[in-house]
Amino acid sequence: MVSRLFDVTSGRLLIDGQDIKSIPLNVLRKNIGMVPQETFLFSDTLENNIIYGVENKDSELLNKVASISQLDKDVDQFAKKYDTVLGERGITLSGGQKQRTSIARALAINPKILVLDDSFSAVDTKTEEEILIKLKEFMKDRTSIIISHRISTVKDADNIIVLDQGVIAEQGKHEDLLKIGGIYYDIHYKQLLEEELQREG
Amino acid sequence: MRGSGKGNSAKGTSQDDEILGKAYDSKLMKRLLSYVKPYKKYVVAAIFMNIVVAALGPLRPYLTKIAIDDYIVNDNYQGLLTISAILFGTLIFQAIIQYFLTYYTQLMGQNIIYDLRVKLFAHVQKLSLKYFDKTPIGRIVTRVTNDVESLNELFSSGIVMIFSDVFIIIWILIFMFAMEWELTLVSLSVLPFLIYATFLFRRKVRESYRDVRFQLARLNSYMQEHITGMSIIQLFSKEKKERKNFAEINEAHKVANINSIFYYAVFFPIVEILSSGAVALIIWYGGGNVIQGTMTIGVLFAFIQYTEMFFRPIRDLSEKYNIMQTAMASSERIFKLLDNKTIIENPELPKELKNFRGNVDFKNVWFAYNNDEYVLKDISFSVREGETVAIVGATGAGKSSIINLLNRFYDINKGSILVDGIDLREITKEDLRNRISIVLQDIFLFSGTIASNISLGDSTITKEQIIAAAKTVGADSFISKLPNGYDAEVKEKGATLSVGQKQLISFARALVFNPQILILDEATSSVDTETEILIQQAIEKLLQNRTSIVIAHRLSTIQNSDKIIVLHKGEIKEVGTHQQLLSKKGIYYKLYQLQYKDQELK
Repeated sequence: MVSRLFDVTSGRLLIDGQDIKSIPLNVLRKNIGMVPQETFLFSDTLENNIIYGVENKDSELLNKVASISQLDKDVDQFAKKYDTVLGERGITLSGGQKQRTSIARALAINPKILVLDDSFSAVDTKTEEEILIKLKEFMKDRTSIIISHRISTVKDADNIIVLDQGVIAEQGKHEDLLKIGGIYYDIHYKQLLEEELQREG
Repeated sequence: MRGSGKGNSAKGTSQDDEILGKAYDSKLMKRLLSYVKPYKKYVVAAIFMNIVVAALGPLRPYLTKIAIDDYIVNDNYQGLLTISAILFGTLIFQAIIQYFLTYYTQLMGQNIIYDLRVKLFAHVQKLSLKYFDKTPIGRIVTRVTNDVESLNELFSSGIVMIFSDVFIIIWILIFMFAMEWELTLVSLSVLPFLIYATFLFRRKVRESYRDVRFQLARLNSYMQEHITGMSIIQLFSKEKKERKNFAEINEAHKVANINSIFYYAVFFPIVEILSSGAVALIIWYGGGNVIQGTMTIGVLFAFIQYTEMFFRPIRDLSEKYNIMQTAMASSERIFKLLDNKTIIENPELPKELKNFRGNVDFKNVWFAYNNDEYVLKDISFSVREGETVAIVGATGAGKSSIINLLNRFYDINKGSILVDGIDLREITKEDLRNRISIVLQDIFLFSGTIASNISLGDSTITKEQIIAAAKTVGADSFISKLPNGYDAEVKEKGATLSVGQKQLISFARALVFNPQILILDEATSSVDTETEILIQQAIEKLLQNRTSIVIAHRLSTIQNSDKIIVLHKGEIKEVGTHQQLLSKKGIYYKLYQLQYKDQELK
């Protein structure tokens, strides 16, 4: 909805105090870096996929966003580096690599608002942490909206909104939410358990 | 089953779609003709009728010649009337034969296509799920529909028309030589030019046609990919750029088509010119003979007609080239699918499951969807007759894979799976699957009635059995309240039914076949308390006195099971009853806290 792929049914969505419907679509979308839940990449080169939203080729930018999304080390492994073609005719990226390419693509347009919609589901927690640290630096003084099921992804956010069945159930910082002992606390506890489970075996 | 193909489906043109094909490939043709074999009678009749029809056309100039030379010149009005009547008669006769020819060749074509589609579909049904994991559905549909359709053109018009063109040419030559061989040679003197022109044309058309096909494949795959990725295009405001890219591909497609049309546009007038040239030669040479009195005006008249007639089939023949080429490319793709051997084979000498009791044993089973990425590692467990075993584990532990293997949707890499002590690979899939009912999380309802969805269209199952099964699982009460009861239409995959109702229908479906083994993948979706109680009761009845393997999400189901198997990362970590496992404080204990504890509170 922030990118206006859909419009609000009722109520208003404001950006910098302006109704989103009054902002021209292309202006709006040029300022929002979106990483959708379902990763879609084109069967084109890795480079063209990353700089998809950019007008001109810029290798400095390419290297920068690839480094933030921790993609650079993977690319070093490919014989053709950024010219590697994806898809049926080229190589198949792993789920994590796809998601990180999608993140790099969103960063490449230098967005004012970054939306990460469950964008780390296929990325391991260690890599995720590294990306988040670098993202914090990159998105300093800019807005990031992170949607996630993982507490570890959102725990450092300025404001955490807990949604339950389409309604905001809880809101606040990590520590505050834990103190409430509600849904957020419950999820947090379960995820700690899950992590423990993962380490086993 | 597994979404491993997700996201790959839209990318690139498949190599299959770029098979361009030759116009004639004897190996392919031989195989294609094997589908014609059952309709040999039609082929023989068609060829015979073709010979007759082909002769009737060239007969008319000959009749005209008689009309002119024998009657018009001699002022024989009565004779002229007779010959006109004969002429008319041949036209009627030709029309009648043409009718039968068209009807029966189409009939043959449609029959062949029918056979081919049935065979293709039967083959696709045999393919292992591994194939569907990797192949986009659209591609399979194209094989069965479009590619088969282009073969129809070959069978019903292509081959027959080619025969007919050839016969027409032969007949014309026979008539011409019989009438005046010298003049025939004069008229044929343009033939070398025509053959050369046709040869050139064919080569050029072939090249341009290859280009057209390639551009079309590009266009299709571009469309497919970019419609799938529409949200990305919109999110990154790339509409303009992509429109430009599309325009470029579309332009290339247009140019390719225009190029191929260009050759037609050049070739057809050239044939016209050559044919007019031949006519001019006849008038000049034959006319001279008439003036000298060595030839009749009727012969001249007939020859002019023959010459004009002669060029049409030649022109048509070169046009048939396209049909042949498309058909060959299509048949190559069809045969490639038919030859695909991703099949779970039945054993050659299958053992029969007699007095089947329903014992299941997994012995050191290893399994991977992709090479070496094992999702099940050294799995061993057994379920005795009538027992219920619950399999629990986090997502990705390998629970669904166990179901897939027991049904033999996939074959295992190492180890063995036994039912009543017989290896799954030693019995037929049908025998196996007839004894197993499976209730999946995602319930698929077909279009049809509620009753046919329970019986799955099996006519040996009576209405009474259907109702009895529905009553047992507690589905009868809501079904009988539907407008048409058991005959109520299921619309849009059951969109009008609630999640709970769909589950109850799927339970009735499993029960009506009274299977010895039941596999239940419990749905996680939450339902209201009332429905939950209904479902719990239904499950209890389902599992009674039946070997059952349950991927459990309900605490009640787990507690009632004889044995719980805890699967973790493809390995069995713990086995025991609910209480035993809880007191162990291991993985199950944690899973219980995570997934089931809340249910106890309710």
